[in-house]
Amino acid sequence: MKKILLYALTVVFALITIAALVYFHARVRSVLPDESASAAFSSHYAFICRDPSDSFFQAVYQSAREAGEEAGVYVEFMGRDLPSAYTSEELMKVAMDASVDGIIVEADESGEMAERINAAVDAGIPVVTLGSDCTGSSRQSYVGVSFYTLGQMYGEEILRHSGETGGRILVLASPGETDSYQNIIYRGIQDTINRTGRSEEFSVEMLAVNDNVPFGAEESISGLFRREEHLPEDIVCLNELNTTCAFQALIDYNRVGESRIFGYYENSSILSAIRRGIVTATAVIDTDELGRSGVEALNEYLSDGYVNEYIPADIRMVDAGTLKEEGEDGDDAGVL
Amino acid sequence: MREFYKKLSVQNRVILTCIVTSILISLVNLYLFFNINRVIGRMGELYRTNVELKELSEGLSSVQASLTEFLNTKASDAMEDYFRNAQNYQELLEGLSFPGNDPDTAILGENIRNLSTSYLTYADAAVSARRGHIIERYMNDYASATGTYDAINDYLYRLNLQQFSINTENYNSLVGSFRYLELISVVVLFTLSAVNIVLIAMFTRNIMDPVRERELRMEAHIREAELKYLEAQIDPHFLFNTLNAGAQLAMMEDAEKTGEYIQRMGAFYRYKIHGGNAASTLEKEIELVDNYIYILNVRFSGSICFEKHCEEELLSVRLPDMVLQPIVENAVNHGIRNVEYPGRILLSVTKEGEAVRVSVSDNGVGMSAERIAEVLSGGAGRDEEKLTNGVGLHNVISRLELFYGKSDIMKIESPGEGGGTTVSLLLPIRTQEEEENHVSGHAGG
Repeated sequence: MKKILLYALTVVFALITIAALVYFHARVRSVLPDESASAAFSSHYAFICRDPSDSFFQAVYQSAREAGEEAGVYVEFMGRDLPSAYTSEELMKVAMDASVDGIIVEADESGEMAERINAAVDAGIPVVTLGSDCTGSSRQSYVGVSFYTLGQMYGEEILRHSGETGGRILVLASPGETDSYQNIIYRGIQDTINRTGRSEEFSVEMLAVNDNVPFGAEESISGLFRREEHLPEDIVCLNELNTTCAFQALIDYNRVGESRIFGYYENSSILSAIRRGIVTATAVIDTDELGRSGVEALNEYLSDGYVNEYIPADIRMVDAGTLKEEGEDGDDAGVL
Repeated sequence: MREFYKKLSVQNRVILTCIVTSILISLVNLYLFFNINRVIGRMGELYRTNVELKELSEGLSSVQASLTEFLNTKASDAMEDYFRNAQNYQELLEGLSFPGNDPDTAILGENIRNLSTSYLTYADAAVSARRGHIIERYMNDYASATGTYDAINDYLYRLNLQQFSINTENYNSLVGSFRYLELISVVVLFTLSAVNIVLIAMFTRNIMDPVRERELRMEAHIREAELKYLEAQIDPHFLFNTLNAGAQLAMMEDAEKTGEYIQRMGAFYRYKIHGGNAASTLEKEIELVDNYIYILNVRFSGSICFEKHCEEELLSVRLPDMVLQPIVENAVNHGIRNVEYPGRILLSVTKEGEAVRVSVSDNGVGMSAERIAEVLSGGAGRDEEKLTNGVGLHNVISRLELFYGKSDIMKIESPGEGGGTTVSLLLPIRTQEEEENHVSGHAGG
């Protein structure tokens, strides 16, 4: 019996010792860096947009990053988390000096942007424009929506919700923009109205929203709601910021119901405003598809030396009815 | 392995056990010590990256400052400073490394390296252009260099901040883990010591048995030797006296009686000489007593009246040999030898519970209480020339104690002077198997 007890004690203490040593080893490994492993990426792409805090482009970047990881590519959000503020053009130069393998950029039609894109392409760095194009540059591809189609969709939504009555349609645009996309959207709206033969009933205007200065957008839109006794029947916002400012102004000035707002992008605030009937509808671009397409376009160009010049992105209008359907189907009606 | 261990001497077994347990503890200690040192080293290295980034930033600032100075003054000292600082900065860049596999850190580091390469390219171009008086070019290159310089500083700041955050997190984690490591080390050493103690107990437990076995064997041999020694104390003078008497008998009578006499003598001494088995039966002991009495009666012309009352079934009871004859001899020598009346000796063997009562009574001179006590305690002196001094009884008492493993086997009773004496033995009944078990148990194993 005594012998059995000694054996049992040996086994018990030995097991405790081994368990303690195993835990010790695991603990040491957890605090020591893994010298053998290293981050291995085959390529490094730069992702550049005008406003790094824009949640739309943050969602696009997230998709781009995931698509990049799947392909062994690191997609860097240039300019984010840096102490200084950089313009897109400056970031383009930084990306070139950092010897990235490709650039995905929210471009514009400015001469400086075209110059930067051309310089990058000349230096052997392919460029894909995303969301908005720089048609005068030598960029390899453009990934985005057809702005004319977007304009048509806005026009159709306006016609659907206005019923038999016409009215003023106000398109909030950025002032001094040389971008033609706003004009193309405007043209799309106008043509859609005209095709119904109701051009007499509707008037389409554009208003410059001063979003180039801090808090300028909110000031401009608030001014509109303060100034005008009769608001336009339909207000079309072409970006997330203007959409948010517009529906908030309706609430603040207690003028909900006086104007239908057609916005751009979906986030929790805009969707909530749609459910409450403050925003009539919003144009939603599939940010996941946008981000992935941008990375895939660069991958394709780098591997094959060729890529489609235009890669369209899906766009759809979301209103209260759509949300209800998606909610009943159990879909997540949150931010894409 | 077991065979090898069994072949080792006691000393070597102990040494081997100590070596094994010492090696075990040493190895574990070394492992713990080595890893704790690694953790301490890691703690010391933690903020190395921040120090390196700070040095890099200072190096970069020196390059920019000397570049600006040279472009401003075109002084050769400034140009030398620029090249020296650029070289130093290049070396700092090459030594930059970041442990771990965080991709964000790796990209930031890569950006800094690539931007620095671009910066130095612009700076060198600016210096060349300045030396060549190409104003527009060096202005453009300087602008590019300055723009890249600002970007590098921003990245350095960003990386420094990120590394500081990571290092602080790692430091807190390390400090917390270090406490655990200390605790685990104590637990490991404690449990390992317990394992070693148990192992030593197991090994030495096996070591002790052979030693104990030898001790017990020695005890048994000693007991056996003692028994033989005590038996050998029985005086051989009797042998010669009886032989002489036998010779006289042979002359006086026909050979028949002489033959019987010598036969009985032979049996008597045969029993004594052939003894040494240390155990016999009551039957054989009584036979020896019969021969003894016969011989005595021949010597003393039948003056000893010897009666026996024995229960047949008790004759196979085992007891040490040479027990009854010395008692009867004492009864003859001390009891009835010098009496005027016919001496009588009565031997009775009766069962008493789980024991046998063997009594030898005589009608002789008796013994005083003091004498009885003296004899039983073994205090009676020894005289090898006379068999009348209680030596035989002392011998018998000692052997009975050895055989049965207890005292108080023998009792001596006497009413006093002239009242005769009775020596009785209370012998536990043991079979031969029980006797063998008793002996082997005492011999160890």
